[in-house]
Amino acid sequence: MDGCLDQASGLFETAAGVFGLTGALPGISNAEDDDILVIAGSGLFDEAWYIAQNPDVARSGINPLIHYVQHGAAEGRVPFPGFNAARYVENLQGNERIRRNPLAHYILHGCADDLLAKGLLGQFSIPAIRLAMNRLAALPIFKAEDYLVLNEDARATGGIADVEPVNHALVQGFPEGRSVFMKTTVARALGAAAAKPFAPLPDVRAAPALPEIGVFYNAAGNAFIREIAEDIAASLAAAGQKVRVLTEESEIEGRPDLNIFVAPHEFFHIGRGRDWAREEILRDGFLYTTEQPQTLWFERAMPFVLMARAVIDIAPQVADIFGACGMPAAFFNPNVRPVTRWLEPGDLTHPLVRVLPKAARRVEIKPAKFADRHIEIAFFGTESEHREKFFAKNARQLAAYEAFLYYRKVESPLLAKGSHAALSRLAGHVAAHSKLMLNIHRDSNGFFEWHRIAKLGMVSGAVVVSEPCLPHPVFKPGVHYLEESGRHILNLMQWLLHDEDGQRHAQKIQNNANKAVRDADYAARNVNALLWFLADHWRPGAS
Amino acid sequence: MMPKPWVPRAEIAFEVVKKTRKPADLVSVCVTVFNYERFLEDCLGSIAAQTHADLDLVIVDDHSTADDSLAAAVAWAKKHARRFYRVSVLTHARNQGPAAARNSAFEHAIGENVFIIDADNEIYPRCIARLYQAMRDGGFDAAYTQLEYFGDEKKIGSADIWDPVVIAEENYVDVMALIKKSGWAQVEGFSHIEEGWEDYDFWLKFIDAGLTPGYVPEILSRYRVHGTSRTRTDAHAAHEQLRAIMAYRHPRLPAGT
Repeated sequence: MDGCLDQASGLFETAAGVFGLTGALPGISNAEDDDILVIAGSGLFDEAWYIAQNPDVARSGINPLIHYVQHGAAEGRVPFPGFNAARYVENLQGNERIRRNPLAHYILHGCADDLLAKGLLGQFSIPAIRLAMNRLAALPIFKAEDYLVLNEDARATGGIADVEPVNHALVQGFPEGRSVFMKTTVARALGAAAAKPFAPLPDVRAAPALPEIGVFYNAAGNAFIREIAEDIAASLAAAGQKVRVLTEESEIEGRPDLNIFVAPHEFFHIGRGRDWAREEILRDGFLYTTEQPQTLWFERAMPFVLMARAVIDIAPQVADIFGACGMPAAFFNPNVRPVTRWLEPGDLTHPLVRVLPKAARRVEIKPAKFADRHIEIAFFGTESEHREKFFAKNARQLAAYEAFLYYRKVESPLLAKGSHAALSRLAGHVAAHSKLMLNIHRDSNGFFEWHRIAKLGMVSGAVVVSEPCLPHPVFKPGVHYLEESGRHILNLMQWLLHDEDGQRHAQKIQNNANKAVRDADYAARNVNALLWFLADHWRPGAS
Repeated sequence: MMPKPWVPRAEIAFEVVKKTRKPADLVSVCVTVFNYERFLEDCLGSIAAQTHADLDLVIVDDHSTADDSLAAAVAWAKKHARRFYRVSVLTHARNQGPAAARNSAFEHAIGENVFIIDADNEIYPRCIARLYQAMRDGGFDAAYTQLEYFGDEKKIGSADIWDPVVIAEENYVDVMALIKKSGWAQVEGFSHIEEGWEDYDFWLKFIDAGLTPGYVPEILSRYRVHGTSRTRTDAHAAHEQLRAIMAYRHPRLPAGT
């Protein structure tokens, strides 16, 4: 930090000239003397402003700078607009103790970034905060004015408590759970990203030499996240890469050299995961983000994502948005394998297994044709306004089908361990016995919900019927799944289930999806591209 | 249940029984009515439209005085008697509240499994068959589906897997459910609670008795929402009082909010 400013040089030559101070001053210690000279030489002290702000100083006739050094600084008075001495002192704590006037210290040793607010991110260094701010400012979904509209209290008022919006958003907005991104701006950025063509995956190259990779998930988090972590690890392992699935309970010091943290919105927020929110871990870490950017969950992960080595996103459009802020960003969906058995022995007594039609309780599931499946429509998802409207509007029509609609209102996430762990396995099991897998988006942002559509639906041979989705590089509407607006989706499902042409069409879609999820050539290129992304951005020996 | 000679027993206002043997799959459907003549036709119609064939319909009029619910129930029962193995209309000599009305219906029911529904609610055609299948194949003491709220508010209910720990904190299971008559008897039926929450109390008694209902994740029951009658303050005050009543009656269950 030293040498950020060059004002220290030549101080003594100019000091006398500025205020006409010569020689030692009466009643002033040597240290204060030195502070005064340093400050005077910097030209930063705003004498006129100081007097205007402090009429008592003007009346007293004391030289304003001397007053500031002798009394004003200790009294919290401000030497020039915007200099927040308390923030400066706080930022330097832990590094060194300031034994002199903070402005003089700042002139000699500090730089502009030392005046940044750390807010609730006090454990991170100023360079880490600056990096994250620069990335945030460059994100297409962030606009300072949006942030101020959403958070009027963050607007500058002219006092020293003012914090630049991007700084405020990072250190207070995200950690306090405020809305940072405006929904229309997010939608516009997604729309722009969706319009871009996908670059084809490069051909497989010899795999780079990488150390063992740790893939982390939070054991107290959502059961689906654990599955995604396991699928990422399995994809890497299948390519010959050494990999371990780990949780927040692992020893921090004993972590592998190269790490992927899945679902940072959970990982760094729940239980012992909070201990992992350290600068040196993030700086070298690859964060695998799974949330949609219009959600608070996504925002919750942002400080960590923006400080990370690189980000890998489950959606290509979000990876594109991250890439625009200059940080290394990649899109990756794990390679999925056909599953013939979802349930574990203990799951058979689960209440939702016990309510299944008997034919749909068979644990070992042979790939079944569309016509041979026992449940007509399956849905798994948590409550949202959009889904609530859909189900309330279509309840009467849905009631006519053999269905399994697990629309969940309980707020807690599906726990990876504990009583509801079976639910994520159950979702796969039900899909494997279902003709149609219904996908109703959480809101009007039509994400391609990879986990539900590909991992649960296509892998299990259920024909996915979805509201329109953002484009996906592999899975195409009308080929691998079907799209229709919520208004007409019941008509589509009725056609698929009850019309002979519809049934034939459904079987065709199932065949196409089956082929796509079993495409070994794509799987090899997919994981090879990830390995090279890791190799290109990993810093060996950094941990 | 201990007999209470001072409580007037329900009287049979109308009854028709088929002469054939009682079907093995017979499910009793109990409709409790109190001043709901205007909704009765829709409710009973939704029961007649069930895909489950063998039904024993028990309608209990809890001494409606604001309208002619009893006459309407009898007229409907006469007209649709052939749809049911047995159809009965019971009446209370004076108004006794929903707990007593449901208990009268249960006592009269001849099915091993009894579905209870208030006369302003409705069910979709697959409801009874699906719940019966879940009870029979799943080994549950009761079974319920997700609700569709209709009327003055359109939304989906909060039904979810039966979890005693969560229910002890807050009830999310409506009593519009298929219940084993033996389970009802084991918990000594519905208890009258002056301030309400008899449904919640009934489920808490299930937990006390170690009985387990099953959740069928389909939207097959319809719950009518009638405006909003109470102010938030009133509701909150009543909530506190009811919490205390539940805590007293079920002291072994964890404290709720």
